[in-house]
Amino acid sequence: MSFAFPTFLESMEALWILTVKGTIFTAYAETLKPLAVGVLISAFLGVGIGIWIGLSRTFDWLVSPIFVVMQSAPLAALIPLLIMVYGIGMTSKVFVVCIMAMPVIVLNTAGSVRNTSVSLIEMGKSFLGTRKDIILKVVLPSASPIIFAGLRLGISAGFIGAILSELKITPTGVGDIITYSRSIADYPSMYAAIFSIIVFAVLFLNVLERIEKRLFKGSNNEFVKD
Amino acid sequence: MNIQTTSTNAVAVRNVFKNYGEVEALQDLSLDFPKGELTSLLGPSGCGKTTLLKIIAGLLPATSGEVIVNGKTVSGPGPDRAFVFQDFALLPWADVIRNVAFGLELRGVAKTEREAIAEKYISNVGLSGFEHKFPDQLSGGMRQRVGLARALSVDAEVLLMDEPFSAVDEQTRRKFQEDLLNLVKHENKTFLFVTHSIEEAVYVSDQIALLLPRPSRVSEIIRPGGFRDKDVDSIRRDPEYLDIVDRIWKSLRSYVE
Repeated sequence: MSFAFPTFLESMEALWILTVKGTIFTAYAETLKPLAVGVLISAFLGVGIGIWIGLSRTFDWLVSPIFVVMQSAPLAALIPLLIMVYGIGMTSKVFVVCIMAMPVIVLNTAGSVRNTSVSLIEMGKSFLGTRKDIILKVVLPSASPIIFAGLRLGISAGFIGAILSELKITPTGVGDIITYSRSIADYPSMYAAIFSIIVFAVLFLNVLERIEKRLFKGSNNEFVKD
Repeated sequence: MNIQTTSTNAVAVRNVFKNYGEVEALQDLSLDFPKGELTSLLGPSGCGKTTLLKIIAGLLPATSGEVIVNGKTVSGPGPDRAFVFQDFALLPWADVIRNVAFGLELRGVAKTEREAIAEKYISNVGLSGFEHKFPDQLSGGMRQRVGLARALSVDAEVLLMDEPFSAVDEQTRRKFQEDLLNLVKHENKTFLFVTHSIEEAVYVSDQIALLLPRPSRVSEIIRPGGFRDKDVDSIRRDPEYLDIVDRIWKSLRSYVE
């Protein structure tokens, strides 16, 4: 039993070997392809659709259910279906990333747009703001903390989706390191790969947080509570 | 009913009804607001005073009837009216100077110009030095002064104030009431002031319209007279002031019990 659970040091040693050999870098280059594409699509399309849902009752009624279902549907069951339709290449993998990432981004964005303070909107109208002004200057800045929270959650889920697609569709990149290491009982390498994904995700989310702080230079985005 | 009219009324409300579904919030309300004066809408909660104010502001449509501001019928918000909100309604992510200049920003005024105008009103309300602070760094009284500076910056003829002092502490509130008296004297604007405080209404107003609840109607118009020119500290001890406060309380008392 202890063979399948190496010590932390053993896994770090394996990680070091993977780094030195350059294996980990080529692996990430592979994994990053569907990950980057999937995350970019999910972020931009997701926020865009979320804003539209928040602003339009009709669009909400039409489109929200898609994302609610997408979030609840078991991915493991959907993957064989995806493979049947889109094959085992990049397309399916990008789909998996999107299915994991988009719902939480869309639903968070929509919720926060819809929850904009009525008082602030009234204020904007009273000072003669046009609908466009109110959306750009009141609704979006007000919704942005939750939009970014949704992006953090969604992108983390996207990472999981990328690895999942490599475990379930075609072994490439980091997912391959995990599968291969497990199949030859090289558990330290397997844990090393898993560890590296976690580190990568944490670093990425940190960068995202910095971007958010830079864009909204208010005093820590504290909301005025009267 | 005795509606006093002067030759020029900045705002005239004519037979306004407002229903929310089956609830009749305002019933056949007619009222005049003389130009250059401060008129209070005074009454217990639920008597429709904020509803009426928002209808005048153009933020709510009346179910029927009309509101005329300086000769023009109201159909929505306009540059002739500015609103001061009870909960301040400041943008939390914008600093004081951007908040004060927000009304001008929405009107498309250029940045340097609108910030110069905002600076002037920021110092008028006593907030010089706080231009780059954010709302969460300010006290309640300071936030309301930002709201007031914002409403003054757009230079509207009619200033609508919705219980502007009820969310600040008592001492600040008294100071604000004194400052408001000064403001009314020096600015050539018409002020519409909603409050539920009898003393406040009698202290600041040239004219008080007493509103009674459900359905809302004007029961009486009072014009506090002689003590207006006394210095601010003596007004609260003036016998006429005290009489009027008492009289109003007797009128309203039966509606609260």
